[in-house]
Amino acid sequence: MRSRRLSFRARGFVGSLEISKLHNYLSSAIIMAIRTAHEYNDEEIYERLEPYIGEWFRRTFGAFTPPQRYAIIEIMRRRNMLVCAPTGTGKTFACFLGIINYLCKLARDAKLEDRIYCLYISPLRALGNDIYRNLELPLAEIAKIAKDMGTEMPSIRVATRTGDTSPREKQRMLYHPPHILITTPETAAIILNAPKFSRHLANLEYVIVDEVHEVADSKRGAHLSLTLERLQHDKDFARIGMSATISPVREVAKFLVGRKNEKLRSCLVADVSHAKPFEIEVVSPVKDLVLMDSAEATASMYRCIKDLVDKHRSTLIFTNTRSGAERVSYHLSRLYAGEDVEIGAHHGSLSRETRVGVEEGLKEGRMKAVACSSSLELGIDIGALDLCILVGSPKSITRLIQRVGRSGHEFLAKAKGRLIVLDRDDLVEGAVLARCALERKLDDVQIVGAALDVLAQHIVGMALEKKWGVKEAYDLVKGAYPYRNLSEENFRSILEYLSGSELEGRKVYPKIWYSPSEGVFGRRGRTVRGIYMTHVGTIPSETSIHVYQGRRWIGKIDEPFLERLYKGDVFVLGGKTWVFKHVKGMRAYVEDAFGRSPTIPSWIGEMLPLSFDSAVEIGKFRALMRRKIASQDKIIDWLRGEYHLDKGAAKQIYEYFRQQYSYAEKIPSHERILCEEYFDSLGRQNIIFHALYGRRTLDALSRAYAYKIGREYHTNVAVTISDNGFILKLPVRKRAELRRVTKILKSEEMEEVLRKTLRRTELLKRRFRHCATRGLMVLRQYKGYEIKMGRQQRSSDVVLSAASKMPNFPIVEETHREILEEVMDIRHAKEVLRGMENGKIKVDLVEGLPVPTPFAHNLIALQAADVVLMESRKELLRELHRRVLEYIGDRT
Amino acid sequence: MKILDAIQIIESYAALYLPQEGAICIADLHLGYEEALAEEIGMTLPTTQLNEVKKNFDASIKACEANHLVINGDLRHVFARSTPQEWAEVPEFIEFALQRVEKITLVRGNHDTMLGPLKRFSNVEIVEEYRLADIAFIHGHKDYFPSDEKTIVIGHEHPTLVLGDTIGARVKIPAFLHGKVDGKNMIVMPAFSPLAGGTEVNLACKEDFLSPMLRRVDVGKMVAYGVDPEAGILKFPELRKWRDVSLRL
Repeated sequence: MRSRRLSFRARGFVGSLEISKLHNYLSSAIIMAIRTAHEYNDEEIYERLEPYIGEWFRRTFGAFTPPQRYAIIEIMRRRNMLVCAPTGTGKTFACFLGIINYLCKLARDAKLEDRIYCLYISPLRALGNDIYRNLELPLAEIAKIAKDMGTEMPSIRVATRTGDTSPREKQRMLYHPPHILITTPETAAIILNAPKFSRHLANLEYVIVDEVHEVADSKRGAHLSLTLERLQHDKDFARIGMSATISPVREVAKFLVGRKNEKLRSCLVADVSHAKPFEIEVVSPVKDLVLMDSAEATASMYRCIKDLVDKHRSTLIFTNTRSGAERVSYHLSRLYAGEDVEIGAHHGSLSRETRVGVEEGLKEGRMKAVACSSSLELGIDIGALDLCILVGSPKSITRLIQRVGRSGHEFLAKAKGRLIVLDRDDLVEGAVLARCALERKLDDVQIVGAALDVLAQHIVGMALEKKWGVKEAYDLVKGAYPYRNLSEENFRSILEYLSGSELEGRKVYPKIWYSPSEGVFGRRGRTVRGIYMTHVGTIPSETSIHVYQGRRWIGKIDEPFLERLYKGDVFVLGGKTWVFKHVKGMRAYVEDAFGRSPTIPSWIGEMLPLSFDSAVEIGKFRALMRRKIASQDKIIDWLRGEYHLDKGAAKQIYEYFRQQYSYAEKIPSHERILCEEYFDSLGRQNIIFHALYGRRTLDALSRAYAYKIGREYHTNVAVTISDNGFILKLPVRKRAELRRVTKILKSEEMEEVLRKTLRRTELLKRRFRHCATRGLMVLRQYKGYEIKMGRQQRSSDVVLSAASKMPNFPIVEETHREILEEVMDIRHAKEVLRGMENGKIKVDLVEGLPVPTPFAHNLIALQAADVVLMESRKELLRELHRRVLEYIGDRT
Repeated sequence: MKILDAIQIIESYAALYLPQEGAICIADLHLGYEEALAEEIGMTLPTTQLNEVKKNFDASIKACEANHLVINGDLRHVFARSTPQEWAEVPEFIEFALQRVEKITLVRGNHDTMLGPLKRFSNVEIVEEYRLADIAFIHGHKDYFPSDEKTIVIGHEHPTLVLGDTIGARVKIPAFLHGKVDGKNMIVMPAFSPLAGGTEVNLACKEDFLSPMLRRVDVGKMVAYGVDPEAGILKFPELRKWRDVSLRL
């Protein structure tokens, strides 16, 4: 059966750059330190290049690409700069050509010294390897041309240094330092503290940070920003950032450059992300996403994928999970059985060799198709792909653009994407995201906040370097953008924690020496250096959890999955279903579920959250649909026109909305929350909030509502969330009043309420372990021995219960901050609540319907439950005790 | 609350009172736990345990009229060697206790090695097992066969109950266990230490128990007295009657 292609096609090419638009936007910026860059023309660049370099470039490329036209000259001028450009637009030479030119000039004049002039930092090791290769060859060619032209000069040395570098290599670098050093954020922090090697950085002139978008919203970025401030503390260098499509660009620029003496450093910004045209189609593999049997729908989807792959040379297929990548590559291989075609899979659970093999295959053009998780989103050179397929919504506009942008790698080739949708919500999401992508309406990135555990780590590093005055160190730290609002109180509390001086006069394992009265801190003890060097970084070591039925080992699951797993959940492992009982340390205990269906999908730990901004866009679409249905417009034609959908897709979307409207007359949107109740087969009240704001915001809201309801009605509440809403379930015989429920939570109490709901949860315990390790409180290795993960977790649990009794203990505070701001989204949750309070967001109630409304069906099908406990442990204990007695028939 | 005629639980603390003997009994303090962890795995842990132990002991002693303290093992916590912390904490606790009782008997637990710092206290005796009237106190890390005593009191296990409901809530509470072994009454004490972990006795199977005695006894026939500072003492029926629904209440 041929799959019906439902599609819309549009082009997003914005001719040459709309500088005036960009200029106007940036001119209205309050901070003038961040300015638009100027685009030079080819001649202006060529005349500033050394003749042999110019000659080499002319022979190799001819014309300059837009990022190069913005960046090369400014970099020669030693200006801070942020270049946002998609992959395949010549970013490598945009950064490096000016620097190479400068180094060659020095070499020519016999002024090239044995030190590091340029530090290139990339969050991805593999990318660093790529860059190395991309520089080595050109440098050799340039040298040859120079020689032909009669200019002999010493070679310019490039080297890579990461966790993989051999001791021999490191030794060599110490005596023959490279002029350009390629490294990772973690290694950059380590070499800062390498007493001999760090001397080579004393006159650093350039620091390039690649893939800035990858680190700006995570702790890795916080860590890197402090490394850069420390590096720049006693010298000055130009900071150059390379980023993929991101918004808002100005914020990212501020993050890149930081502050000196309370003033933002200046930065030029070149947003060249318009440079690459792209085309997106939304494809539904079946005629009716609801009525089709799922096995048939799946088979149809694979045929649809094969169809597309056949028509292109080399295709990259993005799924959202590792298991998805496996399944797609497996089924596709089967469909291609017998043909001489290479299909591969690529994701984080595969071995390094396998992944590198696939990457090489792509580069060499050997792979017909590769299915991956988000692992290939980043800018490694992966050869000439001419199509990107996305299976299921990518959950954010930015991610959609980044993924589609992986195709069409040769400059000016068009990026081509096909989004295959899996259900009706996916279809609506896909249509809206694709349209926003074509309009370049990106979702905002949230720059990481002031992570205290990362700060603690860096303070230990600083203490190892020298003795610091508290003010001097505090000023340095505040220069890093994420820490710009760090209070002196919080800074000192970290010094106290690290020096142990607040622990009743006894110093339990302090990492620094600190004198509050003199206002100085410095190093302490001999083992601290070893500990610090082996614990630098932010990536928590996660490990598998072993699953046991009694004493019998069943298999393994990973930590992100465990974080989402709650007692009573049924899941699949090794082909059978199991009921989760409890976890102790790193072991999970289950009982046989006797074939009961799973309540939690296996990929739930990997679920990408729908970004808030994208969710609001979908909400706006819903509002629009509601108005049109109410006024009985000709909707299908309008959908086809505005969203370039063909008849089938438009019809499906229309039907979905019409059903909701006819059944309930209310359609939830970004400014209308719909709250309905229904009673399930056991008679339990389910309260459903249709609030389209993305799962991170809903994680915060749902828990807070559950807590408040629990308090008011003296009950526990189970919580299920998705991107579109959440369900609160009460036990049998408990009933909450809907009208009361919607008014029960206030925005000002969010922090306090959420902290209470997190107590005693697995999520808190695990995140605490990560923060405790980063903050050097619980170690991964000690005195040369690796500490087993189970030990680490148990130790963390003990530490957590003790530390929670101390007010404002920094690592506990940081754990809460991380959960509230990075796992959940408390900021937007409060925004939504304020909207409900001031009437901007209306709440509609639906009561008394026999079955849930159509929009609720997907949510109910999800069923993954979390539980918010009654506030009072006392009440809970007494209640459970009472039930034990009841069970037995006693009436004590 | 009375467990037996001669033995009561003091309010809702992990402490026993023997009114006829004027004795108070606690077990498993594990003082020095934090520093031992720091020594072994380089972990930084604020020292909160001693203060809490002192506070709870003070409240317990005020609620009864005892002048003899029996510590049923594991006063200290050790891994490799004595650490500076419990060189300070153990004597500090003993001094604190001696301001409230006249005599202390320490029944040696598996962690109670190298007790040098206690030698200077004249009214502290250290024994392998202790007999008071017809009650025998042993730590419980080794197996024990009763002779003519009527009741055996052990520590070591740190018993805890785990309870959960139908929508997945879960809570833990330390508990005294009371049952019979070899025809005698047996009481298993929960840990007095707020930090030490424990055995989840209503979920555990035989091999999970630390004490050899509990591995040969039918723990299912024991009743439990959960102790919680806020909820008070919650008496639970024989474990075997309800442990199957422990997590589905």
